[in-house]
Amino acid sequence: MSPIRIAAIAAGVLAIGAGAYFAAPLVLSGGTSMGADGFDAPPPQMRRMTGQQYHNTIVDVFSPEIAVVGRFEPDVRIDGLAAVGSSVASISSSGYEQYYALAGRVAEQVVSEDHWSGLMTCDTASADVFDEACATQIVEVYGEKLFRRELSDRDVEDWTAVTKAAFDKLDNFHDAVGLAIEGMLSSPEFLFIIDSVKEDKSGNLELTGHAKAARLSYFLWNSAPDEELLRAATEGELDTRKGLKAQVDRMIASDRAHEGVNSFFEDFMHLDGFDTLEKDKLIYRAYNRAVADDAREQVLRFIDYHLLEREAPYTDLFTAKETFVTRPLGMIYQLPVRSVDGWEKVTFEDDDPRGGLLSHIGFTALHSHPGRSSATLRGIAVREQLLCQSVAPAPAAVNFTVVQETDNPEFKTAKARLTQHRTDDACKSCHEFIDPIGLAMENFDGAGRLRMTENGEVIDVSGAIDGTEFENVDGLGEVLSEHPATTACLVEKMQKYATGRAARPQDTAWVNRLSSRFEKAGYEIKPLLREIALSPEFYAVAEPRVETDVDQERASTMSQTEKRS
Amino acid sequence: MTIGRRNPLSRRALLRGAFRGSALAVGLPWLEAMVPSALAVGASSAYKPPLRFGTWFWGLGVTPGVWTPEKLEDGTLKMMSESMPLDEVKQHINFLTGFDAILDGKPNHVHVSGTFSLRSGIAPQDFGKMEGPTFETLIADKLGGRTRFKTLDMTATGNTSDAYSYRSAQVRNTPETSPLAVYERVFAGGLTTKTDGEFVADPKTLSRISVLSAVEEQRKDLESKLGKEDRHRLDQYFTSVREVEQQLELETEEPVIPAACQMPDNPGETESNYNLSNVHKNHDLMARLMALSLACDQTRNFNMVFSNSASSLHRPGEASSHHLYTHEEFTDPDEGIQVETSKFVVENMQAFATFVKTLDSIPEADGTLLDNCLVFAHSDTSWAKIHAVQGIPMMTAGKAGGRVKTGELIAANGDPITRAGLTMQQVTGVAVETWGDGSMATSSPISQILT
Repeated sequence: MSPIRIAAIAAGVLAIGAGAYFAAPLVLSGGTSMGADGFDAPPPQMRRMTGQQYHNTIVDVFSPEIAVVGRFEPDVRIDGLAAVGSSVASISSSGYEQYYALAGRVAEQVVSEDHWSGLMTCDTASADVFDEACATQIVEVYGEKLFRRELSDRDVEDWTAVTKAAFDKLDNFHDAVGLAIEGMLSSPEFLFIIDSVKEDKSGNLELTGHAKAARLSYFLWNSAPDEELLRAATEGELDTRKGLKAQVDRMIASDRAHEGVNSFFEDFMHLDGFDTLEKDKLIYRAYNRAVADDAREQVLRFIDYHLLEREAPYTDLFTAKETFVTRPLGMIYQLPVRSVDGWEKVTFEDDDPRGGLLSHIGFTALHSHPGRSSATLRGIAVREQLLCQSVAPAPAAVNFTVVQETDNPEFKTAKARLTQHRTDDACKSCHEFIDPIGLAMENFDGAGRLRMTENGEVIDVSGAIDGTEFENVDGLGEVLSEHPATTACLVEKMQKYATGRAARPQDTAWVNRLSSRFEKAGYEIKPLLREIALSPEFYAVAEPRVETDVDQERASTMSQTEKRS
Repeated sequence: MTIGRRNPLSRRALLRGAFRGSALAVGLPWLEAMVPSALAVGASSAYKPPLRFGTWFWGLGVTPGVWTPEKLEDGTLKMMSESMPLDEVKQHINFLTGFDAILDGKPNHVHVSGTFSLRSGIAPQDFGKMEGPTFETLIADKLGGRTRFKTLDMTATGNTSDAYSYRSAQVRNTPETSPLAVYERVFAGGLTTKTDGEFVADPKTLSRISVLSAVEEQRKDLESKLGKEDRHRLDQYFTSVREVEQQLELETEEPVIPAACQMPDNPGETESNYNLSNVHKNHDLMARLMALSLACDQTRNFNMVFSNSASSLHRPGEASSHHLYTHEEFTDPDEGIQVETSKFVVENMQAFATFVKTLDSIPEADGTLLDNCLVFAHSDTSWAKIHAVQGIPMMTAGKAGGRVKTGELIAANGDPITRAGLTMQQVTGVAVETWGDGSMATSSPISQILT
């Protein structure tokens, strides 16, 4: 039985419980007006906004002066990306309580005396008078921006009525508008980025202009669409190749693209790990919160400089010797940093192990334990995050007797310890896959500081990865920059990041096309962003399940079969 | 008055400004001096304390042979080296041993399969994917309908990912990560009682309820656009909206403050990370805040995490953490155990003892708060050294308002671990006869602990 058919039946069973009969259409339509014909399109999406997206959206819709302070639901990572997890995550009760409190604080600032005149195009003559025209105008302007769609007349009437009802209880126009905005910010249409769809001329489903705009802006800017993009959406320009191109090019050229690329790499490199990354203060005295914050930003500045400013190939990140440091980072890099409060560009010598991505604190310290380095964690991070390869989880019932029976338990270096570990058959294949990579980074301790010896013994950082030998971390960087999985992985992750979808076999042809264009573009990042943003597949949607009769008993049996298999 | 959206300063501002001197009665932060005397000392006979339920989690299990107490001939329990911290509270505790997570051929996802099997009754097929709600959320639905918070979740590690309570695969309850955040949310944020004069609901709260109703009206329009998975996510979202709405509705009623309720001190800022001393400090403060949240009837359900599964706890100055020790430490030939690893187990037990003592320190009705609680404590694995999911250590504490005996040692012999979850649900009144998936399906509660 095909996966589609099984899914259809499973859908039917679930819906039966809800009192309606559903099943998937036999053929999932994938056509869009932009020519992704034949592409097996997914149903419309609903993605939970991330904390950063929330923050950026508030700033862009209202003003940078509006403070966004509060806790967000933790991200869910799927296929290595929070962006994919956002398509399956919902919101818990305590999470909603936080979003609701956040909405109240934002709305309160928006309608405060300090901000009203700057943000609202109208006002009432006196606060104790309800001005329906003004309320309507505010609902129209902010409703479209916050819900990322055109409001129907009914929507406008409803939210204006909400404002009036609040006014009747509060006797204050500004407070009433505040509550309406608070309500919009608490609404699922704000907290989830939900595709709105329409039928095209041939009866196929397609995204509305506004939904396309939202998809584009959260991909390229990690924020809400701006006025110009909303205008283009309203006027149908995003439905034409020419109009879309003009907007995509404008967006990529804009300064806000830096934010978009940053947020992709934050997700790609799991830099959110710095939020909870702690080091033992007695062992790593130079590491503190300032180092953690700067280490996170350092990676992004490094990437921004090489990929956007220099427009260098992505593969350069593994070998580039130029990066940026602050005074707190200087403590770890053992470099004098002149500026007290700012970033300085540094260029490491060719024979210095420091330079490329793998030598950054944002990689070495992030993938270490609180009190020591970890070749295993670093090796896994390279395999899984940067090469998109999967590493099997540690087996249960590990036999450690070999390690324990060794006469001398004092293995001085990580390599010596791990070599012992690898004598166990259960651990061997996996550790051979990950350890040589991690061991090449052993010149960096658990906080990312350079060291040549461990417990008095010189650290051997030579090794081999997938058949290619290297001398040290520089060599490893070079191998990775030429490894075919490196660039393929970036494409795969960016495609997933952009669409918020887990890997689907149906996407293979698209991803292959993106990979080959990426190679032709010399592995530069901007052409890849552009290629994705202009792909018909990026916008393709199919009908969600349609209602139809289904044989209840048969569906139930089939579902159980599926569950057992 | 509010549900924690304002700091104390803006509350004052609201009193001065927003109501413009109108005659509205406004809820003020609760202060000890403001307890109506009828509800204070001497009123205990009129107050029937509700049943509370909660979980307490620690990571990386115990060492076989040195944790399970020995039952002496006179029926008392003799603690072993790892359970010794529990000696002074053992009369409040039941030890449940010998219950297995039965995986039915599914992989043992280390640090995950044990907890997920125990909590949801289903061994997970995929790593990290809980395949159903965890049982304590079903209990929270049963017990928590009339309190401000259906449940309170806290983790002493400072990491929001250290949480094991799931509404569904898509919704994990988010824990508070600092005592200060708990204090601000539960106490400073809006625990109110009536002031002089008649109680009048805050008009802003009433408005908010109507605005949230408007939000809920979007439901049908949205549902029609979505596939089944997303409809399900939307359902969960609206359940969350409804719970906040209920919180607001409670604020429109005159609050009843139980006699046992006391206002805690502001715990101040603390350092949150895996450093053992910080974890203890945060846990002990959280235990106190949790106990008072229960005593003040702000919630009847809780989830407390002391250490994460694959415990990252570490002692200052040591390169290894609890987790690394379980993997790499040599078994001491004289002691027959991993000595450093075992010390961490003792620390975990010390924390649980503190938690139990804290609940027991609050008088309530004719006994203590603990008497009206049922605390279910467990780990993710039994012997972390080999990541075993057989014989996962579990305990209960408290008498559940007289429904449960204490001081028992239950030694099962490979019974499904779901018997524990079934028992907890049945004790708390959830109507469930059979629970668990595959070989873990059970209709047999652990009757030895029932009165």
